[in-house]
Amino acid sequence: MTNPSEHGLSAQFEATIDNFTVELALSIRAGETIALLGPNGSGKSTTLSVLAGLIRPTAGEIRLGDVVLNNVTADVHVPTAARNIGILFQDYLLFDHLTVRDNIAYGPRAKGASRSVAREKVTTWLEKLDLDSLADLKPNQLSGGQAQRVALARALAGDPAMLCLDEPFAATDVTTTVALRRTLKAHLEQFDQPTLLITHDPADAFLLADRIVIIENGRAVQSGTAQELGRNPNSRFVADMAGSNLLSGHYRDGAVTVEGFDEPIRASSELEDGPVFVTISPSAIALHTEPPSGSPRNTWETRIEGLQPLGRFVRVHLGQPLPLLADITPASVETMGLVPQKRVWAAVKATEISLTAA
Amino acid sequence: MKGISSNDSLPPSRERPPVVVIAAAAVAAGLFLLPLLGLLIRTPWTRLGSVLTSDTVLDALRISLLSSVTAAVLACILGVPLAWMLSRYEFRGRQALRSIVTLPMVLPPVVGGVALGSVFGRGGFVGGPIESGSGLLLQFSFWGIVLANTFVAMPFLVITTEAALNAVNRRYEAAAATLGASGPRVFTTITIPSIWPGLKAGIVLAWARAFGEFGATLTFNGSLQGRTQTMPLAVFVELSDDTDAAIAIAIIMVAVSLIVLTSLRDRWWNPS
Repeated sequence: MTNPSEHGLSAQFEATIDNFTVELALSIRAGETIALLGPNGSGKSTTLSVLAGLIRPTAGEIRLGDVVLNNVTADVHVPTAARNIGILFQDYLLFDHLTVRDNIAYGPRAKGASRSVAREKVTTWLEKLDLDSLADLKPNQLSGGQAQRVALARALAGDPAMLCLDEPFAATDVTTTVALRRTLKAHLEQFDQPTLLITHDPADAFLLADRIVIIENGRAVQSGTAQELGRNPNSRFVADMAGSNLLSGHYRDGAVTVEGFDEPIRASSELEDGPVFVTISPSAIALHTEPPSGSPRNTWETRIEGLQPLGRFVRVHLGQPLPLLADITPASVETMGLVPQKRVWAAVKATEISLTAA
Repeated sequence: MKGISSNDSLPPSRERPPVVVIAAAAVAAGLFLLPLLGLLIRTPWTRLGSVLTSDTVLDALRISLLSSVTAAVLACILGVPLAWMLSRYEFRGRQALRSIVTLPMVLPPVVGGVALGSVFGRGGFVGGPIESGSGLLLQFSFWGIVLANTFVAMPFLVITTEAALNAVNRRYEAAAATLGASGPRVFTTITIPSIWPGLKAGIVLAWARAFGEFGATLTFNGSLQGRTQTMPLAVFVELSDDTDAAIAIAIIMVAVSLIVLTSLRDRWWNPS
């Protein structure tokens, strides 16, 4: 863990709204992206409101860099305008009466930048997000993807000490999401302050965040990297939330080549050839003790590395060549006599493999 | 797509409305149009020039325009903060305050004038100390007219502005605050542009109400030509004296009102 006096966010707070209490500890280092992953109503938006200073916590302390934003015992509450936390809102909240240029200039101007300094920042951000040709349009003339790029530029143009992304892909369609995710990832890599990604979609969390905090009923239930959470979930909830198998590979002619795995994985997709992310639900992987014959599935031989009972199913950790997770019923585990180091054949139907362009 | 299954409202029908509806609507429209027509018919067109340039009319026009515009500005300066409080803050007596604000809309203006006199008039508990301290008497003065006008006109502004404020999506204000904007900056750069259509309507309504104000002004300020005689008061005074002059002045008022409303219409009432 980092020293809290270092740059970054360290928050530990309790907040209640409409009889729902959120009690959370979050620590994000400068340059790091943490995903707060949970279903609707788990306390994600309350957390965002607390960080933004729109809701006062009832207990705890929030620090950003050297600044104490909240300290309930010392009655410290820095107002929203002085917090310097940039937020990318899920419905963008672009100011409809201002042009793209003036939307981006809003933050720098509000923070006291002169007209010429603000103009320079706008020019930089228009260029960085490829918005030059849209500078003089009003938000209602933009497509969803363009609006989100403007919203990101507006959030970053004021040089925030922290960035929050609130369900960044909630309002975009699938094709736009792919492009935006790429844009966002590139900018997060350059952003040297802490970033909090709020999402209900494990794919967003896996692809954009360094670490994931899983939130349920207002409490963090587990945190770790995507791999740690998938391999070692401490509850069914976490297993469901973070249990997806994610691989990156290259798609060509109806099959995906994954590094370290000789055979191409057959997948049905209408994607163009190119780099892809492969997601396979653990429950879609079947295990056999003998090579399955005459099956149209993707099959491969592997070894069991570990078994983890999770109530209604057992999560099986598979070894090389594809270190995936498979969820099997306890009855099957018993019939097949599955134990660590046992040799098995894994099988997945092509239709159970979902691909997204990377 | 328009239809009952979507959120869009249905388009206006192209069919003929029921006869009863047409009849009632025609009577209603006639009620607005006929008096105007009557005025035009009885207007002494040949004398119009001389009536218009008479001292009585020029004085009244000047006093009316100045006092109604001043009252509209004052209603804006005082009324917007009041609407803001009613819309955004929870406090004891909020509902009562809202009722008090709308009181001048239902109160007979004459009663308003009497009430203003008892407070701001000579010997009133506010007007008395002001007069003995500064020698300024609000009653029977230009500022008395402005006071009476503001009293009757401000409710229109407060009500439309509060409705507009209630309709604002406050998340935009929060978004502006996260970008570093202070309270006043959020108000001037985000809130005002959002409520502008409602605020504009409120200002126009308040001005129109002030321009036409009669009862409260007459009761509180009397009708002194060149000092407190506004256009409506001039119409009333001339009516018993010189009916042609009264009608000529009335026509001018109609013209001024129409000019103001139509010139603002394109720019203000129609959202671009």
